[in-house]
Order: sequence, then structure tokens, then C-alpha cells
Amino acid sequence: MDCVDRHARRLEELRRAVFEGDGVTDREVRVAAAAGTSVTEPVRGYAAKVCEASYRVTDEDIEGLKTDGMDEEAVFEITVAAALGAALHRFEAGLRAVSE
Amino acid sequence: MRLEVLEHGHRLPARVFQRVAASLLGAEVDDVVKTMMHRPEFFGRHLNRYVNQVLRGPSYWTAGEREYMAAITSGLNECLFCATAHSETTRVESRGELDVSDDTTPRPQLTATCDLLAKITHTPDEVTKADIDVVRATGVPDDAIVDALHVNLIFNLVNRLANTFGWSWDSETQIRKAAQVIHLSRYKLPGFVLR
Repeated sequence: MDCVDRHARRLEELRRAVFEGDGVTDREVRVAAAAGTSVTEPVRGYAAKVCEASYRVTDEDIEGLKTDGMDEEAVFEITVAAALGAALHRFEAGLRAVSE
Repeated sequence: MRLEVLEHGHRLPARVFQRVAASLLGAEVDDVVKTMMHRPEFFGRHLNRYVNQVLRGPSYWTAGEREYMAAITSGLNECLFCATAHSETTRVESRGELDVSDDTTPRPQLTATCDLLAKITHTPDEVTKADIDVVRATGVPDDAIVDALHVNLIFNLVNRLANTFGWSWDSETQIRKAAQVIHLSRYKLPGFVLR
């Protein structure tokens, strides 16, 4: 790619904060939510819904996580991580095509 | 919003800011700002810096054209909250020259780029060099294509948060005021609310 990505540094700061920063959830859980590789339900199904069809998320989905013992701060972190993972996946696919 | 912590879980500076802003604007601070002010070290501070640079920093694309990309991506992700807001910001930033509901208003370079963004949004694994070459053929330089990918990234992220957290507008007035605030602030929130 013969061009400069002038926003790479700011994006990297965002990525690091969400996936490597301190939180109430383990970093591995956030990374797995972003990659779609969470091994435990209901996080796996919830993260997949955020990534693939967020317009279908309902109050019951959030309540289901809370009933399972997850507090609101954890839901916040998992949601941000899953959404950022989906957005990064798309961005990287575009960037690869520019570099081909 | 579906999470109480995003509605009322802010630190003192953010709470004061919300009261002052509501009193000055005559409308409540919107759900995007409330979400960014919640534990900003985890997310909002970094998102705000990235958004300010991508949507209002130097670019081949005008601010209005970047808003147009935002509205198109939001429509593709079925995010009514963002689609509505960024249709209005497109109108404001382009001084009425771009209309999201009229696909004859963008220049060919923007139309081709939005077609690429649509494919990336819906079927990212099928995007190839051939798709990029279609955009290049209209005269768009690679730097500008990468800038457009960043706009698309922001809305592929934010649309999901809007849909999931249940962001909503209180009224048409709140949307119009938010667009004016965005125009004046260039998406930059005061530093003290992000600490």
C-alpha cells in the first residue's frame, strides 16, 4: 500500500484501551468476545448477536446476562469489545484489499 | 438506555457537564455522549480522539461527505438512531448540497466509495482488489480510500452500540441541536469530562 494511514495511532490507542486496559472482565474474555471465540454461554450468543445483528438485541438479552451473574459494567465491556471486534474485522478486510 | 450505568453512572465532572449543557441547550445530553463519558479511560476518551481526527481532521473528503458515509453505513447496519442523526449532520456540514435520501447529490467518487463501504459492511470476506480498483478508477487516491475505511469502522462500531444499548432521541429538536453542537465542537468533548 503506497499511502499513509494517518489514523493508525489513534485507532491503536482505542484498541489497546478496550482489549488490554483494566476492566471488571478478564482481557481474554474481551478478546474472545471480539473474535467470536467465547467458549461460554450466554456470552458467546450475546457477542455474536452484537457482531452480526445488533438491531435484534432485546431487553431480554441484557437481562439474560444479568441473571447469569454479570453486572452492568461487565455487560458494557463485553458489548464494546464485541462491537469493536466486528468493526475491526471489516476494516482489516478493506485494508487488505487496498494492499493487494 | 438498557444499562443504568450509562444513564446515571457518571463521575462528578460529567454529571455537572450534563446539567450545564442541558440548561444551555434546552435539551438533554444525548446517549452517545453519556456513553462516552462513562469510564472514559476504558473507551470514550480514545473513541472521542479518534472520531475527532477521522471525521473532522484533514482529508480528501469534506466533512459533509464523511457524514454522508456515516449515514449510509448506519442505514446498512439498521441503526435508525445514527442514520437519523447523520442525515441531519450531512445536511448541516454540506450546507444542503448532500441529501442522504437523494443518491444524485454525491459526486461519483463518493458514490463508488459508498458502494465499497456497503460491501465491506455486509460481506467483508468477499472484498478484493477488484472492488478497490472500481473506486480508484473514479480518481480516488488510496489515502482517501483508507480514510473512508476509518469512517466506516467508526460507524460499524457505534451502530452496534446504539442498537445494543438502546440509544434514542427524545425529539426532533434534540437531533437538530446535537447536529449543531457537532458542527461547532467538531466532535470534541471537553477534556475534563473524559478524565
